[in-house]
Amino acid sequence: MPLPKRRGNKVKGVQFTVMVVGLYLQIIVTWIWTCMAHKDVDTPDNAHAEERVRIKPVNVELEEEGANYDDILAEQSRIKRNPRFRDNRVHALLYFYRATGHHLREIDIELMRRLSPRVNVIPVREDIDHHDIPIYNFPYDRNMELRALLPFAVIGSEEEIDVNGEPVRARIYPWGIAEVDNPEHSDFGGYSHLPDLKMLTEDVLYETYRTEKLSRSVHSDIRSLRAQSVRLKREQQLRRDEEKREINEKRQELLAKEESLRNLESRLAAQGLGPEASY
Amino acid sequence: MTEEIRAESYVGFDSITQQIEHKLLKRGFQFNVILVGQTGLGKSTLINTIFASHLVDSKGRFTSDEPVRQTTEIQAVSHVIVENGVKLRLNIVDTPGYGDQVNNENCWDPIVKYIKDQHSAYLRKELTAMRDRYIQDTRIHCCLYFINPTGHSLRPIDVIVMKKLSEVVNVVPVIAKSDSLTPDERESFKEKIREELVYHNIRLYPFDTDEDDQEEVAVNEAIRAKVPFAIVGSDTSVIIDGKSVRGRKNRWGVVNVENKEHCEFMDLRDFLTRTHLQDLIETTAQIHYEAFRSKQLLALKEGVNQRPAQ
Repeated sequence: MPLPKRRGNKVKGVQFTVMVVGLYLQIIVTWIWTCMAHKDVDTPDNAHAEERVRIKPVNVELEEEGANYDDILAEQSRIKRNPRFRDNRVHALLYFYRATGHHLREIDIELMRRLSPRVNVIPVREDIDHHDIPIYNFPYDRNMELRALLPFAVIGSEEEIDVNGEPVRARIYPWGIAEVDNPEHSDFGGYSHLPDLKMLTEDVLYETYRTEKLSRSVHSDIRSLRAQSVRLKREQQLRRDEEKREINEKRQELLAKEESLRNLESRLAAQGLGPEASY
Repeated sequence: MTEEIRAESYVGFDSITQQIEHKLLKRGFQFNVILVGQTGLGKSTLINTIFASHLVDSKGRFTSDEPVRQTTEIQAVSHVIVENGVKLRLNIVDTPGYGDQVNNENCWDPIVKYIKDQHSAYLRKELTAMRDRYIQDTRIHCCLYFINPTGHSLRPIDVIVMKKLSEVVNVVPVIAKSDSLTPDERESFKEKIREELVYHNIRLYPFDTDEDDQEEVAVNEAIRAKVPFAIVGSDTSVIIDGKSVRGRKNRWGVVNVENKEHCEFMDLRDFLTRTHLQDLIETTAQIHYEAFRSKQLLALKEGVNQRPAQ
């Protein structure tokens, strides 16, 4: 499967944050380690880039309308650290859900629905023997090939090693051996040959990050402009109101003054004109 | 202790066992089982596999525009299976949608209520002055509880529900879709589950009673060592070594449901149908129903005592 080469890789040193959500942490963590294990030495500009993966398992109880549902989150998988940029937002969320054989459960749908406005959600289906029922519309539009694979069916293993002339990463069952790197067994198997999974994931993440960054700045520009114009209008309105009020006040004052003058005049007239008037 | 005597010549009353059998064969047996677990864990498939018949349809949603099931509509499906002249009346109660919602509070209430309702119905019939000779028994004899094969431990909801259910019915927990675990993972998962069951004081079937002899106690111990049964179900057949067996084919092999090295389905099947079927029915009547009955009758008596005060 031909992949577009990463364009003008100027991204060394940007921090990507991937959040992983799922019930079966062991499998997920194993899979991530499996993917990250291979260093990308093909492209020269990455050769020196430091790779750090840190996984912090966190037990979170989601209180949804009084109910308890345990989700195990693996946080902060940092790929390529750069001391300058400290962007801690989550750029992508890998949502691992258990295949029920029928459909997504309400909790899965609800969780993904609530998460999607805040972060790009990539649904990943665990350890199944056939693809079907992808009902969730993945909001990331760029890579059609990836999209066709959704939801990804994956196997992860870092421990089981079977020597068949050479070591193979696999899960060993009484009825067969599921090889991690075999593309017939896992959707990300054999990534060391063709689509370099790391490149793939990084491309996905990079595109996601870029899109987000750009759209955010555009949105923020628009938003600030809009905010500005609103402010201006409001200020104008306030000024006009202020002026009106002042004018009114002044008028009232003038009227009042006129009134008092007239009073004075009439009183004087009643008493007789001039200061010499006396009886 | 009365002394046992041996008659001087053969009388022939030992044929009473055949007489009873003959009667029972005519009447048939009733077995009621309830399946509890989240959607998609293979409950319907398992019961079909155990009785080697298509008894229940799977209840999952198959299209995305079907609404998520909101309520647990607890319904019984009845079948009569005949084997060598023995008639078995089966009631299978499914609990679709259990544990699927975002808010799963009290999702066990309808299930516990259903079980108690069956005791209640039986009691009412028993207390009727003109009662039937043979009361139709809808009391649940066995509850198969399906555990998600996460490989970690029981979820809080599993603990709560199993505890509540074990107070009213015989609970037999199983690890659903266990072919997603390797043998090592399976063993450590079972260990953890057993620890948690002990920790939370969850009383599972089989129970040891004073009447059990050594052999029976040993059998119960063996069962308890296997619980929860790690099972795989299948309503399709595959060909392995020229034989047609129930199995599942996936990308890296074929799981033979009937192979004891692949899963513990055969152990569960034998346990439920070949060794403990009668005991499940009996303990339901003698332990769970009796407990319910005494509570109800005591409450009735209290009610009667309080009435003069009104």
